[in-house]
Amino acid sequence: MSAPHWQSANELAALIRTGQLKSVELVEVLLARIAKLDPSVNAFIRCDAEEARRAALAADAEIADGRYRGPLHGIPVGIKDVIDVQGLPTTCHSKVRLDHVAAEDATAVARLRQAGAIILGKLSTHEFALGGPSFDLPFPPARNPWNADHHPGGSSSGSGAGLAAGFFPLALGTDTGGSVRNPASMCGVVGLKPTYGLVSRRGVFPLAYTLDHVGPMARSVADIALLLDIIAGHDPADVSSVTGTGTKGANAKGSYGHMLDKGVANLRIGYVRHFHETDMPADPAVAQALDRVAEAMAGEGAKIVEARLPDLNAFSSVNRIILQAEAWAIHAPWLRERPQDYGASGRRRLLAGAFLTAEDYVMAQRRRATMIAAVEAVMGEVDLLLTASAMDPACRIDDEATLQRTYPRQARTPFNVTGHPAIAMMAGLSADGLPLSVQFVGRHFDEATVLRAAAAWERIGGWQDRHPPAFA
Amino acid sequence: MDIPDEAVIEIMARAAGLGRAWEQFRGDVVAAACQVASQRPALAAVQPADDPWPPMRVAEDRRR
Repeated sequence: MSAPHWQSANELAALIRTGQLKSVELVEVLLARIAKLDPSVNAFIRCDAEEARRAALAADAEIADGRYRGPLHGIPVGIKDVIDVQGLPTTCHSKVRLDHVAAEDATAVARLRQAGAIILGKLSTHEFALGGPSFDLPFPPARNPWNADHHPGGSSSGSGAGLAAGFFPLALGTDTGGSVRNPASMCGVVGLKPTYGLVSRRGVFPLAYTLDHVGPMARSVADIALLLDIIAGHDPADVSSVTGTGTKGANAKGSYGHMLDKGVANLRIGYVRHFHETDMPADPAVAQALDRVAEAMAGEGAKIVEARLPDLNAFSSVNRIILQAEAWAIHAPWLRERPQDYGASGRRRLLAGAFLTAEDYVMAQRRRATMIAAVEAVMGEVDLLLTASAMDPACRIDDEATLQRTYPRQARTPFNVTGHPAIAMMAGLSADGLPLSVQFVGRHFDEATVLRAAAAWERIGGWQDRHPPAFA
Repeated sequence: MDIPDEAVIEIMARAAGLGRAWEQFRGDVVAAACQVASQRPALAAVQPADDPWPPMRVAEDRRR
């Protein structure tokens, strides 16, 4: 049996439910690990140790009293610091928000608490969930546990880094242009961007209203399903929250993981090669890893077919224009009055919205409709898509020129534009020992098939058992 | 790519209420304006949808 800090939430839940492990024991193990190792990772903006201990003791008492709430009872979760946790600041990693204190929990956090989860603290992000790592913010940027000289991806950087470092088994992130899937890709963990509207954004500081998603992050696909089961569902307080999930979502018990063991035999998988072969040519190691995933899935009985979507660069431009326009609408008052309180990277990116025209935004939304139709047409022919996530492994965190060049080289934004569910996970290691990644994309509300394929690759690849050498 | 010159960028920035940002962070403002201009050509690869125009839809189901 692996050490508690590497065990999955599902494994820990079984131990806690049967009394073989106390939640407070688990929390103490994790707090000791965080105190010792987080100074080299910076996953946390604020570790709420005392509240976590109090909540763990309360969970243990409830369980001992026969009031077991379910598989998240007593399980620690980290929360990206753009998501409200009652009584704690939601700083968004920015000087602009240092004085903020959340009056109540975000809906996703409230659902976690109701399920008995332990909120361990607030996690690093890029400033306002935008851009890349910066050294001019009130808190240092998170670093990659696989190599602390390299970036961990973002903007849910603390979520990815903390999972890879063994600080918690579950985390919440947000994803507007790939921000759950980027750190999952760079840190060798798993991150799901659900279908747009499946998970409430109430209590989450917005970046771009029509692109924002809250998503689960974990070290295993089964744990992603576990977390999604809790946070998915209609919330009347979020106008984009959907009221139903169609016929392909959770089963009658509300489980998105009901097909994890089914394998991929007879699934039709569209392999979107042009994203990483011609639109944005990938590092050869990434391309080889993707081919290995496709071959492995074919070996398990999946039918792999070539799929063609609109050009990746056009997706990126549409995503960027919509994001910049909507973010400008949120940040304009602060940028006018206190531009000095933003970091240089965030300021430069947010200022772009001031130079967009109404025509830019409306035409981007109209092009978005074309893109959604194009992806839907392909999805009519296949059960899911296999694509690149990142085109390169993580570069050095202090190499600004390479960061600027490689950060946009990714295939995640298309599915913020279209709203389809997409999961990113490890597909191998580079020659330098940094994670490589793959992305599976499903039909709207068909998270169950996305998780099914991801679980199959997890079993075949076996990468989930690999941990950063310095943290093993 | 049609990059505006700095005088035009200053007029646009001040019109957007960014006088303070222009005085303190002129380089960031210019970089932002140039970045917007540079991203437009990629959009030519995709024609806009003829229909529908976005996004106005009555949420009929939510009233049930």
